[in-house]
Parts: sequence; C-alpha cells; structure tokens
Amino acid sequence: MSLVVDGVSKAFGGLQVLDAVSFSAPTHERTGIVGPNGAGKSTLFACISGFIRLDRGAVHFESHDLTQATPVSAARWGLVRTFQVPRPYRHMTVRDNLLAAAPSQSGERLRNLFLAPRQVRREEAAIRQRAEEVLGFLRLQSLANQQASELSGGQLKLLELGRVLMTKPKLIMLDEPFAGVHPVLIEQLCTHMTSLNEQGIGCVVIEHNLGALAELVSRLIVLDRGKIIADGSPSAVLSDPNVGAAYVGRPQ
Amino acid sequence: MDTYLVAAFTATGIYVLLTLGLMLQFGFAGLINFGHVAFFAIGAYVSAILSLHGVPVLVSMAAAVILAAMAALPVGLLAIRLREDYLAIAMLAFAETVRISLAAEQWLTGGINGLTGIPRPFFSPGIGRADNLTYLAFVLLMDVAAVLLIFRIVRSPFGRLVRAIRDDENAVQALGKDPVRFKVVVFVLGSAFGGLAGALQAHYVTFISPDQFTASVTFYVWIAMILGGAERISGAIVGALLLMMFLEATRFISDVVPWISPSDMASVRLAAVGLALIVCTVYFPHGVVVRAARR
Amino acid sequence: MTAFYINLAIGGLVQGLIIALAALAINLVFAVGRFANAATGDYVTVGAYAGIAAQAVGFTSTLAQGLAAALVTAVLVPAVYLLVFRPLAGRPAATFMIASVGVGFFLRYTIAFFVGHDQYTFLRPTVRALQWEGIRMLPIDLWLSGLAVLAVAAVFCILFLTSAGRRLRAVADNPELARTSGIDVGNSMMLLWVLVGFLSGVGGMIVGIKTVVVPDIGWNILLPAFAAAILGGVGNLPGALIAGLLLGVVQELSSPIVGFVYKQAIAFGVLVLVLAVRPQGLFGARKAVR
Repeated sequence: MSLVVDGVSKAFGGLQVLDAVSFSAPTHERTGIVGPNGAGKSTLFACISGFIRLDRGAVHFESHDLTQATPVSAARWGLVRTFQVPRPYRHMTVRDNLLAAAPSQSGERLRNLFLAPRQVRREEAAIRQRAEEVLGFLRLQSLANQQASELSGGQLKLLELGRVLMTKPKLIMLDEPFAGVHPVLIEQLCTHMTSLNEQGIGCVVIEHNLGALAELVSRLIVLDRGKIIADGSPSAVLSDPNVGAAYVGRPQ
Repeated sequence: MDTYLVAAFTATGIYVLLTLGLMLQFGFAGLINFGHVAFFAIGAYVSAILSLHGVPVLVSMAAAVILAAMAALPVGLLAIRLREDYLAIAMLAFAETVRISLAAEQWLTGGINGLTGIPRPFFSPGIGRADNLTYLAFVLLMDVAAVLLIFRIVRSPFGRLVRAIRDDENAVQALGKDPVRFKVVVFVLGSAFGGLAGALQAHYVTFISPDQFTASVTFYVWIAMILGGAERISGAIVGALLLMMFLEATRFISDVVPWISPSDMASVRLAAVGLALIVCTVYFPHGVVVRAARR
Repeated sequence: MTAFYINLAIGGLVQGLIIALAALAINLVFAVGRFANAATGDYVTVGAYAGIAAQAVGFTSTLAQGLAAALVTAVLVPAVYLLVFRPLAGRPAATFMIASVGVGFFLRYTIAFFVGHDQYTFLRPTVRALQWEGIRMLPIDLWLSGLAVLAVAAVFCILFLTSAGRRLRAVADNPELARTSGIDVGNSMMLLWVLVGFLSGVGGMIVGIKTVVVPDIGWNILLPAFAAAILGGVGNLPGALIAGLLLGVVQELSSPIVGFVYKQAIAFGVLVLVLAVRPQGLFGARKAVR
C-alpha cells in the first residue's frame, strides 16, 4: 500500500511552487520530506491531502485517485494529516476532541438517536474504549478532562496525533510535528511513530529539524524550490553535496 | 390583569420556540440566518389553511412543522455552502420572497387580507379565559418538549460534532467528516421549530396576514437571542422574556401617552432593536457574534 | 407591440439606474471594507428624505434638492462609519453585517418616528412625454439618467484620476501592504464612505422623484441591489453598474409574464441562480464564496 505522487506541479501567480514532484511513500515505511524555507513542502502536503487543487500531475493512495479529491475523501480513505499549527476543538475537552474524531458514528445521524438508541450507546462505549487506549498510548490520560484551549504547544501536537489515530488511518501526514516542541517530547513522538509503523501505519513527515527526522525515518526526500533534489536513505541524502548546497546560503 | 398575563406568556412561549430555533442555527452551528421569519410564516399559513379546510388542528400543526422542515431542506442545501454574509443575504431575500408570495396568492392565502377564523385545538374549552389558559398550557408543553429535544441532541455524538464544526470546520474535514450535512440538519431543525412557532401563533391569534411576517420579526428574534445569550438553552427563555417585556412596555407607553400613536411606537421599537443590535455587536466583543462567526 | 417592450425596457433602465447606484455603493464597501453593508438601502432612504426636507424649507430646484440630499448622506454615512464600523475593526465580516442591519433599522425607524409613514412627493411640473412611434420617454427620465451617469462618472474620476482615489484602491487591494507603504488607511476609509454616502444620496433623489418617498423606499431596493452587486461580481465596480441596469431591465420586461407583484421576486431568483451556478458573478474573481 502506498501513496504515489506523480508529476505534481503547482504555480501561484507567476511562481512555480511545485515542479513535477514524484515519489512514493509505502505504508510500511517512514518517509521524511525536508527542504529549505519556500521549498514547497507545505504546498505539497496541501495538494496531496486535497486542500489545494494541483495544476498538473496525479496523486494516488492505494487504489484511490486523490487528484481531485476533497480533504474529507482523502481522510476517509485512510490518508490523514495533521496541521503545522495544531487545530484542536478549543472549547471541548481532550477526550471529546478524540471522541469527535472517531469515524462512522451512527450517533452522528439524528434519526439513529431516536430510532436506534441502543446501537448508538454501544458504539459510544466502543469509541470511549478506543479513546482511552489512544490516551494511554500517548500518555495523555491526566489531561483527558482538560479543555483543549488550556494545553501547551507540545500537548496540542500530541492531541493532533491522537485525533488522527482515532480515525484508524493507514498513512499519517505530519506537518512539522517537532516545531517548538521540547526534545523529550520529540523523542516520545518518534517512539510513537515507530511503534505505529510496526503496526502497519505509515507516515510522511515534513520537518525542518533534520537531526530528529533523520533518526526517525528510513527514507528522506529533499525538496528545493519545488523540485526533488534527493531521495534515498538518510545517510545517503545527508552526505549528498547538492543537498548541502541547497541549505547553505538559504536563510532558515 | 390575568388575561393580560396569559396573553403575554403565550406570546413569550411562542417567541421562545422561535429563539430556540435560531439559537440552534446560530449559537450551535454558527449559521447566520436572516430569513427565520420565512418558516414562521410557512408554519402559520400551512396550519391555518389546512385547519380552515377541515383538517383537525393538531394534525394541521404537525403538517405545518413537517412542511416547514421540507421547505428548509432545499434552501439549506443551497445556502449552507455559502460564505456567511452571502448566506445572510440569500436568507433575507428568501424570506421577503415568501412574504411577497403569501401576499400575492390570494386564492390560497387570502392575499394581503389574510385568513381569519382560524380554529383552536379540539381540547379547547371554547370559552374565553379557560380557552386561553388551556392554549397557554399547550404552548408551554411544546416549549418543554423542544428544550428536552435540544438537550438530547446537544449531548449526543451529533451534537458533539456540531460543536467541533463550530470550533474548527477545517479540522473536521481533515479528519474525514463533511460539515455540510450537519449544518443542513441543524438548519432544518431550527426551521422546523420556527414552523411550529408559526402554527402555534396562527391558532392563538386566529387571524394571520402577511404583514405579521416581515423581516422585523427575524430581527426581534435575533436581538432576543443575543440578549439572552445564544450559547445556552436558558438564554432563549431569558431572551424571549426580555423581548416580550420590552414589547409590552412599549405598547403600554403608547396606550398611556396620548401623543404617541401605536405606529409611532412600532417605529420606536424597531429603532431600539436597531440600536440594540449595534450596541451588542460593538460593545460586547466577547459576545456570541464573534464566536460563531469564527471560521 | 415592440414599442410596448421598448417602453418597458426604458422604464427598466431607469429603475436599473437606481439599483446600479445602490449596487455600486454595496460593491465599494465589499471591495474596501470586505463586508455586506445592509444599511445601504436605508442610506438611500435618508437621501430621499433629505431631498424632501430641502424641498420643504423652500428649495424648489431639483438640483438644489439633490445637492442637499447628497450632502446630507455624504456626511451621515461617514459618521456611521466612525461611530459603528470603525470600532468593529478586526472583527469578522458577519459582525459588520449584523451591525449594518442595526444601522439600517435605526435610520429607517427614526425617520419613520419623526416623519410618519405618509407619502411625500417631489413636486415637479408635469411635462408631456416625448413620443416617437409609440415609444414614450419622460424628459425627467433623461435628466435622472444624466444625473446618475454624472454621479457615477464623478466617483470613477475620483477613484481613478486622483491620488486619494489611488490610495483607496491600494487599500482595497491589500490593506496591510497599503498600511506599511505609508498610506493612511483611516483617511481612505473616510473617502470610501463619503463616496458611498454621495451615491446613496443621489440614488435617494432619483428613486424619490420616480416614486414616492416612504420610510421603506430604500429597503425595497436593498435586495435587488445585493442581487446586482453579486451578479456583477462582488467588489467589482463596473460589474455592479452593468448588473444593476440588466436587473432593472429584466425585472420590467418580465412583469407582463410574472405579474407586478412577483417582479420583485425576480431579484431573488437572480440571486439564487448566481449563487448556485456562478457565485463569482459575471465579472468577479474566483474568491471565496463557498
């Protein structure tokens, strides 16, 4: 099972932000995407996940064609993303944030509330169980009843990941998960991602923090000014002189 | 005095339903509906017309609610995807069009003269005071049922997701759920409440005409909702009470003060509503208006 | 028979001028203030009543009445901005819209309280219509059309030929960039509202002369004006004019078919059609409507 990005191009105004970007990210791997500022990483994520329409190219995930898909479809097919700046449901508790993210709840159809209350209750109990598991996995149990607006930056990142996990994803796209996060927490996040990968859930991670990323991923893709300039194992990529040149002299 | 109180509370009870409906749409789902009076009107006219043709009142009322909901569905489907100010304009236009149609289709609605002799329900004693008291009890019963229904819905998984949509619609989409369906359901539900209020109104005042259903009504409900607090169910009750007190106070003034005619008083009321809308938006930045309009 | 339709079209063009002026005022606010100003109709009402007031104190010339109307609104509308819209800076567009509804109500019903709901008319000498092969045109229509064209031309000249206008357009394009380039956004906003007021005043005079002046006069053109503004493309100035004229003509031409009452519903139909099929209107850019 893979995410296949094929010749994706996107221009804004006169600027070619993405230029024939092609790669594939299998779900049994952890893939990293790095590049200097303005390389087009966030635009690439937005195009893949359906938030922006791409000009040319195609995106496929498993057997689904994501090229024209909406973010809703992409997520339903198992390709779920987090946001660089976390977007929690601020006025809801951490637990409710997780519960709201669980897919296919019959309790979300009004008629089921009145015509199938027992089924709704059963599903709700199952979802609560899963939420507890996710809370445990991410070690967020103590925050379960806190309002999301009261969480720290790092805790919000964990919550983002938690919500994504509730959707039973196949491939998670993480947008700069380590930015502004305590090193200890970064290590925790990496442990989580590795553990998830062992369970068959893949990830594609955009990051600036090359050091932490190189530890986590088995494959590194380097983007510079909309083009892929390197794609391989972290050690190979990091010793590639082109990569060094792209970073040197570009303000971080 | 007590006939007066019964009348005031009955009107309040009807406004509570209207406010609850708008509160669902705005406070709960963040929809800016400037056409609320349209479904009030549809509910009133459907129930009146059916009952005047011999259909039992309670059945007519039920039909009114269902038809108001059915009318809200296509409107909602079209309008929900719109940006909030476009939605507001479109709903305003819709309500005006409904009013124009009601005034024009004389064969059905009695045109600008309206409909008279609308019957009371079967359980009405039929004589004066007891009749009005029974009707008040009926309206209050509907209010209680509405509140219970809303409680149920807000605390359900459905309600949870609507709250999530209001907090961050894009995140909801990124996690695989389409906000549109939920918003449409809430819109239809709120409009159904409006339709019920209309049906109750028609059989209460027993005479309806298109100029009871102008845009002014929509904005009365808006100010009631804003003043009472659009986030809480109790807010709808408080807001409706405040509105009723205000309307009654102004009517009292125009009765007592000789040089202010009722139509002058109507102008004062509406100018005051305008002023209240301005003041509430400018001076209550942490009020309801900012929250639900956040995207 | 064609004369009948041409006469309808002429009537529609005049009606369309009024709608176009209001739509232009609406689109100016969309372009710069980025919100839907629901008080526009009531600004027009104020203009109409100001003209009537001028007539009442003795100004008999239509020109003087019109100047009075435009002056009053050109002062009142910026005042509303200072009192209501400027304090709301930074809030979402919906907040502005709700406040503008409040402004509209307040203006309309304050007028209604002091002046009542009686109809006022602009006293004008009766002049015979010009006739040609069955086509009738009232001289007043020509004057009013000329007046509207002049008003619009004045606004466009200010916007495109003066430096103040250029600054205003820069603010419309990108307020942040304008501010950092040293443009006084506050001054530009005042210019915006003076222009909006001016247009509303002229519109008020025209609609007052064509019909009768009652408190609802502006509210009645609000929805057609919004429909035209959206049809022309939100924020698009020439679009508003073209769409306004188009809508006026379509409304009049359709009245034999749909009847006088439902003519008013045409605007709603147009609005729905545009929002459903082509939300950016005829000439608008693909901005976020949905």
